[in-house]
Amino acid sequence: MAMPYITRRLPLTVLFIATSITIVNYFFRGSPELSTSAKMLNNWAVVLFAFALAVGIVQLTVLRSRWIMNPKETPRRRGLSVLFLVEMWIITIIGLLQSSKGAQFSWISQNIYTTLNGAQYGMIGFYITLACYKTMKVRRWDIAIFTIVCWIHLVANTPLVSYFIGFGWFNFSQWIYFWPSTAGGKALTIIAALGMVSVGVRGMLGLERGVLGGGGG
Amino acid sequence: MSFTLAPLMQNAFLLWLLVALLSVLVQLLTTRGILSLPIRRIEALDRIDDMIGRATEMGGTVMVGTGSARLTSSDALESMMGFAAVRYVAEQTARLGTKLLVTTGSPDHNPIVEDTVSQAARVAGNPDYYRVGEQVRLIGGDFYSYITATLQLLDPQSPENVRALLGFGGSGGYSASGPTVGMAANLAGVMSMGGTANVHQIHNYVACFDYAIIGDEIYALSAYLTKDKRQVGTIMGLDIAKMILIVLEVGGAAFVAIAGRKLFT
Repeated sequence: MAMPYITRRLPLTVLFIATSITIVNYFFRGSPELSTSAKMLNNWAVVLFAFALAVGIVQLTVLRSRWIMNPKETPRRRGLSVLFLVEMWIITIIGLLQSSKGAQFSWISQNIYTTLNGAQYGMIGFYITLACYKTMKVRRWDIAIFTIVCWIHLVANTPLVSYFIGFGWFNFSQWIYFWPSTAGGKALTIIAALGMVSVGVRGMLGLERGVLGGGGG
Repeated sequence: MSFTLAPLMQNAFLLWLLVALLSVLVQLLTTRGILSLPIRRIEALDRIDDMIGRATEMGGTVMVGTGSARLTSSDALESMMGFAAVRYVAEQTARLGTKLLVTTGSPDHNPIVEDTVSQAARVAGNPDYYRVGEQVRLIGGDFYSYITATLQLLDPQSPENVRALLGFGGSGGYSASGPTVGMAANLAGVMSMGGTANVHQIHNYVACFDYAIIGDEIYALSAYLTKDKRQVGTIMGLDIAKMILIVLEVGGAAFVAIAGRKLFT
């Protein structure tokens, strides 16, 4: 069956041209035209992202409005949806009128957004602590290695240990950190980078079509 | 007009070229039936069907997260793999009639994911399964809101009744997201699977999720799930490139250790 032109062939052609220009511009120097084209493509990506943001806002408005209108929804969800829509649209309108450097927008950002972020982080801090405790449990042999190394580091960073047994233990933990740990980290980084290149190649060849959504077939 | 390689890019370009050429070559050979190499099993990905089956039996929801990385960021490739997972899971849930909830952390994921779920429902022969704006939910524009909303959805008291959680994609490079979500899933008795290539998060994912997809495994996700011969061919090309690199690295280290001092002094 022929590949649908609008949903498959055209996006894949655009994808190939755009990625080729970007990659060639990344590795090679010497052509101002190519450099300008690559910069322009990057700017287009930013504009496209702004459009996607607008789609997200419309979708949220539709979904929340549907919840508000639906009498079967819980009062809590309906109330929170009203609050959500009012907040979202007030901030959006102020942002559009003033840009991100406006006095009112900056005030909202600093006094509401940043503060709430801190509060949220404080709340999930308990989960992080619990997760640390969970990782200390030996469930499998590979987690046993992780647990042992965790304990070595934990003990080494306890001032009392340094006081009683000197810095030998601390130096040992530093050795683990700087040698085996860094080596493992580098290996993972290289392998992940190869994986990224592989996805890039698949994208250029039109094999990786997840980003086209349903058109990806 | 003359092209020259950008400074410090020679090695990176050679690496890129090696992987690209091998990927294309192995892909060509495998699709034409000349070469047949087995793809190694990725244990976690084999468990996706089990997770969906369990959630179906319990009458619960399968939740898939695509992370909060923007498509213009360097973590976007992980999110793309998240889209591939959404496609696979949505097809299975549409066939079984299981509830699906896809959570996104960046608004640019939404149009793609909506379209993906819609297409998956059609492919599964159940187009009515897709409901606009119901199955795909934007739950945050940054890490904090994304994680907090995920925790709320995982709450046993939540009407969503999530029974299986699959989280893919970058979350903006915050090391805390892995243990936080993994822990919440564990407390709620939800089967969890997490995937990341972020080195800072890998150990957290291994320790806190029931199944973890780490490193380059996440980039093999779409090929592994679709079993598309051409895509699998590129994975094989990548594996061969990896082997060549390992030989070069080990051989190079041994060579420098043995003869390097004489050569360089």
